[in-house]
Amino acid sequence: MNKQRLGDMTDEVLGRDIARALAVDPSPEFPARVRTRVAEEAAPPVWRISWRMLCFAGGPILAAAILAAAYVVRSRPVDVPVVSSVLAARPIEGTASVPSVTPESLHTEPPESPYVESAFRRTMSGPAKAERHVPSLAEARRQVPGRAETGGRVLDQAPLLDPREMRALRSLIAGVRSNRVDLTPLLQPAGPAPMELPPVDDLVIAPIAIEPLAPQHGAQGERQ
Amino acid sequence: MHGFADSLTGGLVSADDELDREFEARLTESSTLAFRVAYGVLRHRQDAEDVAQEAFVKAYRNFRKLRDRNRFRAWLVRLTWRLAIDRQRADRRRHARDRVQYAAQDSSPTVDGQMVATERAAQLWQAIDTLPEKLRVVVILAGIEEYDLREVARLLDLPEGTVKSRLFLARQRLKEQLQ
Repeated sequence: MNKQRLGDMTDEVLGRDIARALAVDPSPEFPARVRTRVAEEAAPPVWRISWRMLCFAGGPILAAAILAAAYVVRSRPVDVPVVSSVLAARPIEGTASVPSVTPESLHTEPPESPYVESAFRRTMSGPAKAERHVPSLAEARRQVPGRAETGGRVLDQAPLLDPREMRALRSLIAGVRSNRVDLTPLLQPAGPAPMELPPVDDLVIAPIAIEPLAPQHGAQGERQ
Repeated sequence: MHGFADSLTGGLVSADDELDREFEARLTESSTLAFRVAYGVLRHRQDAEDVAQEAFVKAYRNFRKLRDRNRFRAWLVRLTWRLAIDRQRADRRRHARDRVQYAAQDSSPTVDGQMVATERAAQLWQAIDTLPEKLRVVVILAGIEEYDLREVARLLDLPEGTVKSRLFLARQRLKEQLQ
């Protein structure tokens, strides 16, 4: 085109033309676009760092978690049913101790003891049987009379005997202690009898005569 | 640096808040410079914005590694220039270029005058495109920085005398082509 117009170009004119050609501003949205783009760019490094940290620290963390879980599982107490714990609290081979008996104690009434239906099962008193309350385990442990704990074991010190049997036993024991009852022959079952009885030679047994009963007057009915 | 993204989106402020604010300040003061450098190579507004945006993203990724923050502009200019040259070479098939619109202060009151100005700009850009790269960058940066040769030398990390001689040589070639 017409280079005549550019023919007289000086450094000043050339510089002004270049400056005009470059005097172009970005759109107003450009800074906002750059900020948004940078913000989007900022998110991935977080994940990259996280994944790297997870890769490096994931193994030990996983191992620690497994060990902790195993420890918790193993140290967890086993749930025992209530019935089993009650049974476990009672000694299977517990021995009932018989209280010491003195001659004076024979004349006194035995202490109030629970009604016993059998020697193997203690029950409440008879009339209260219908209103039996099923206590909890703690209540049951508190309500059992004569229970004592020794060395972690729970023993029932009250004898599970019938009062009549108990009185008979006390009488026997007192008799033995006061020498009223001699039990030494019982310790020699194969020995001779303690008393020598005279031999029976002529034992005559008279026949028994039974006289018929005479009917009474006025009695009602008469055997034919 | 993540806090910068949060602050941009109105989120939380991280421990690197000071660093993020510094990058935000650099972005504000250098966005036009990066755009014009890219535009001086591509002469397409949208392409220039894309390249400048890419340059800021790369700068953001490596901003923490930049030891001398005062050299951010020079670093950004060289980064933008290289990206724009790469884009230009990869986009040879593009033929439609933005026609340079002279600024509003252009005193061409008539349609004929606007056509003349547009024709002058086309010839000028055509002449600039024929320059070697090391001369072209000096001409463009000198036009952007209003011929502050010291600042151009700082941006290109070159001695000021080298910039002055390159600018002189570039003008001689441009005048030869335009006359």
